[in-house]
Amino acid sequence: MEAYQQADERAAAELVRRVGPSLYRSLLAHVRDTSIAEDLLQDTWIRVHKARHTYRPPSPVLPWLYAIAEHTRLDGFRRRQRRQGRECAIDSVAEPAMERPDDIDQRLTLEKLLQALPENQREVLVMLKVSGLSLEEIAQIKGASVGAIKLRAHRGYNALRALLTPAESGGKARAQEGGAA
Amino acid sequence: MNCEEFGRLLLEDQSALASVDAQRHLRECSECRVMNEFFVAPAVDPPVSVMANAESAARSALTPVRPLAAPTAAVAGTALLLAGVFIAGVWVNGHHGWLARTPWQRAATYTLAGAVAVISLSAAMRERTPGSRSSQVARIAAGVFAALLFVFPTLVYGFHPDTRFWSHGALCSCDGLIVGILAGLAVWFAMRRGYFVAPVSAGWYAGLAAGSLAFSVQETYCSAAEASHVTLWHGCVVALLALTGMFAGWIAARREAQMSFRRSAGRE
Repeated sequence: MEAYQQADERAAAELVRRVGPSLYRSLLAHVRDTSIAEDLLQDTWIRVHKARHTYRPPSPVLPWLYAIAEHTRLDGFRRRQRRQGRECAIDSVAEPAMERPDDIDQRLTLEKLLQALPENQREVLVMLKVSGLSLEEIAQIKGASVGAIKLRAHRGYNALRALLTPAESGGKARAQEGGAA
Repeated sequence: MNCEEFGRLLLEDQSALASVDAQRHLRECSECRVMNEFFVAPAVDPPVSVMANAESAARSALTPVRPLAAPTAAVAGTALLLAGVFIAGVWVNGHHGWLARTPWQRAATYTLAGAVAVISLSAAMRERTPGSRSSQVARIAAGVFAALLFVFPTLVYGFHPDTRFWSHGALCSCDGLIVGILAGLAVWFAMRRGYFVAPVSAGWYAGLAAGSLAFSVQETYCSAAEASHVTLWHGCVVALLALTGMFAGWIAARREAQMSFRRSAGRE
């Protein structure tokens, strides 16, 4: 990143190659649409390029980069909302219902199941498992304590487990418990 | 090992999943097997063309940049600028308020306004760098101290009827606003190179810092040591500047979103 700040083209390309795929997966897990995720990825890199002077070595690069990516994603979300003419505040968007998807046996896709989790739990799981960030890095990005992030991750994990495992084993009940928490 | 312990390893320490205990549990528990497979599912990579576009975006017009100063250095620099604004404000308006107040009133006023200025200024400087926002405690502290600015006059000043409450008060606020705008410009100067992921929040902190400085200048020059005057006419300057900062942040966010929309439309 420091070499990128010093206008090293190879460093810029290397950074994109290293972080681009995990950023893309993280965005895709949120938006569930490849064309939107691709658009957001490109927009994120434009913003990273513009804001590269705000990175301060030797602090970790990923929290800085993911904060920009998250900002880009939220901007994109608002833009799509406006486009669709259904503008509403993010706070008022209802959490998705914690119900077991009907076609779980047919399509066990990560993106689909993650959508069933509350936003704060989904975000942490995506960063932790899809993007491969550490608990400390996520805590730094979200401005929360490591303990709080760990708690969200465990609640999300339990809810996800309830969705993934057979209904007979009481999965739904546990999912609802996770959602209530 | 039980399912809960396995889940903890899966989330917090995947290297320990290779242990004999974890592997045995994985063989015995079908639910944990599903979770394990779920989390180690093959990754989806972006198309090559998208990566190439991202790479060209990162390499376009590449020039060396100077990293932002550390928040502590930025706070110190801005504090010097604000000190200059304070001195100029007192020099122009006088220090009748200082003479009219008791040592206890002075101590309460400047300690509180100073605390708000320092907390909000450090929070504002942290907002410049993505991924390094202030902790929840700092955000709450800024809010609590700002609220105290409106409460403390009723505790340290008495209530005296003033026949010139409105005329004198409006003039007092105008002078305070002029100082506050200058202080706001100084804070903006220090923050201008940042990238704000929460511009409204950054604007609120910047406005609060400028407002608390204007408040202390008003307390220094205004001889009306009366609770309702201080709460309304000095307090409203803090509130107005904080709201102006939020509004400026909102405008900046809209502008950024519009630019992003144009870029996106251009790609389509």
